[in-house]
Amino acid sequence: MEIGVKRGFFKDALNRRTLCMLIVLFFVIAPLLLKPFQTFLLTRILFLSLVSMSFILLIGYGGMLSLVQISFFGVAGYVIGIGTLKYNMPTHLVIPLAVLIPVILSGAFGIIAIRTERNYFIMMTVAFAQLLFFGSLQWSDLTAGYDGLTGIGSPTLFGHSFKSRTELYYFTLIPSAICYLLLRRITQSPFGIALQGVRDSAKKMSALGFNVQLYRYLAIVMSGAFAGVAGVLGAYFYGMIAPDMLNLSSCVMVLFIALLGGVTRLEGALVGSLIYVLLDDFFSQYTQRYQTIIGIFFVLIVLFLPNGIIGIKFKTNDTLYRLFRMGENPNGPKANIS
Amino acid sequence: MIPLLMPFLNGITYGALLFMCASGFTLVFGLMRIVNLSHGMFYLLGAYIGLSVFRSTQNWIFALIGGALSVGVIAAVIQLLLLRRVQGFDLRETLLTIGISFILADVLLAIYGGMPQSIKAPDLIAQPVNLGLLYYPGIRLFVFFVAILQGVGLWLLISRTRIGQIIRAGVDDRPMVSALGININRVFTIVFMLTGLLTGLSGVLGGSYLAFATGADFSVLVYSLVVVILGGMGSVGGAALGAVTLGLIDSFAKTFMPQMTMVFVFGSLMLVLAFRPYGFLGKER
Repeated sequence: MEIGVKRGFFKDALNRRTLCMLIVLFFVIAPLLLKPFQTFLLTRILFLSLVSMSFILLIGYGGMLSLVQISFFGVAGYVIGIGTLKYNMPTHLVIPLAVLIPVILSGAFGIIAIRTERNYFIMMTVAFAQLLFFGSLQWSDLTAGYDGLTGIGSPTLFGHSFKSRTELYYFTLIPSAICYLLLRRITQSPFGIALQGVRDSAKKMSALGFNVQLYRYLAIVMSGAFAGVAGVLGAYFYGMIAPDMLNLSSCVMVLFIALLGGVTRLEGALVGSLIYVLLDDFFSQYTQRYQTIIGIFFVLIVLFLPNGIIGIKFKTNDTLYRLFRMGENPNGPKANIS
Repeated sequence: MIPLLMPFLNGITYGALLFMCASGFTLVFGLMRIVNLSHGMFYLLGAYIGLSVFRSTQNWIFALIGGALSVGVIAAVIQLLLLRRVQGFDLRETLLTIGISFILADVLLAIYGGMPQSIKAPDLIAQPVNLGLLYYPGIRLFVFFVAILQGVGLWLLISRTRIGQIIRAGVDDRPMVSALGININRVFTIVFMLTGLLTGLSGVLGGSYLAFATGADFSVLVYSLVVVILGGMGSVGGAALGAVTLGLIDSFAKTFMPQMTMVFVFGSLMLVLAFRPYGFLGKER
């Protein structure tokens, strides 16, 4: 058995590498393979998985359940909307601003939030999310209240306007891929390892001389930045931004994506958002009650699949296991959402 | 004086309603360590069930009883069938309550539609009362007295009865309570049901003078959160203090600077947390 595993190891590694290459290849040439509408859905999958990754960075690696990520996403969208529509700012100026403001907000939020832990932290995030939601409703000079801002045009960079679905896809793919690689780097860096230490035992880490609060704070700010990037992509995708984007049901969407895929790895977000977007597209054709269906799925996942799809443990001799080496990540976090 | 008296009374009576909502929330948090994010949904459920009972019987008292009892039963079922399965995993418990609230919101929308509704209280209670300086809606005063009754009742329950003793002990040291041979699971179910009862009742009462629609659950939830954070988790007295504070802040802000209401509400929250991270009466854990 031992020998068998060792002999198979190179083959497995090879298979994994081939699989990764295939996935990358698929994303690069996807618009050639898919119908325009499918490309459109894939674009949505990309930025939804990015905002969910920012959630996973906090919950999976930092042990902090944040319900405010979608609000940072929405704030970035509002900055794009306000900057473009009210002040006619060019795309290359409005995008950095739209990432900067969520960073500032999450920085301000983090100062208070790091004082709290677990359940108290969740409550702080709910309260802050609600503050931002009401802000988007009540600051109607800028945000146009309930109606929201519509007609955000296509992004224009270097004199080129990303109008078609294919162009918008690449406009979304490239930042998402860069952010994913950055997040991967962050989670595998000494910072990421220390963050996992803080998650597992803040006391021990503190005794070892780590500044626990600083690690938490940095994780909150970083995840705010990534949510902001996703918000920029989302705003150009939808072409509009409304307070709906900041309310509880949008927040449940991020939770659903992350939990369905699995919060122990960043890749869970991609799996989750793929399934979410397909489910959403499928059920909303047939019934108005798709929120109920999504909700029931959500409850079932929390009850029976706490580590999500990528957390499913396969037996070592399953073909699927050997292909994906699922549920096992020697460098990744081990804890589940407990 | 009178321009200040009106927002003051509004603040106090709104605080009374908030106390009715938040006392259950704080009990569940203190004892079970669950952040019950479906708490706002309990309120809304109470209001809608009360509305249905009222429509079919035309009796407001039946609406109060029906709303409270059915939400109590629903809460008990949720606790027994769902929450108990993930007991001890605090994040999963919280996530579960979000999911439940998400489903119920959609179900209520399907049944009742999205238009704001309200329950008509009987004239005897609803008519304005002459307070000397001004006329004041009787229903608000009624809610205030019910809240005081409820507060006294809860205080008696917690300080004078055996179950109250267990609850107090459970808030302080849960493992020790179960080690003493007390079936803590049954206490959890009872407390969760009690929370459902109280919140459902506050839903019918609140729905009798504040219009409600889907979406109201979220504001109720957030206000309960703020009350409990201000007052301190697990403390019923703290919930009363926090509720009156929040009611007054909300009412004065709405009167004088309506645009800034939320800024004041959350500003005060941040201020309290900066100096007393565990709230007015909360204990450090």
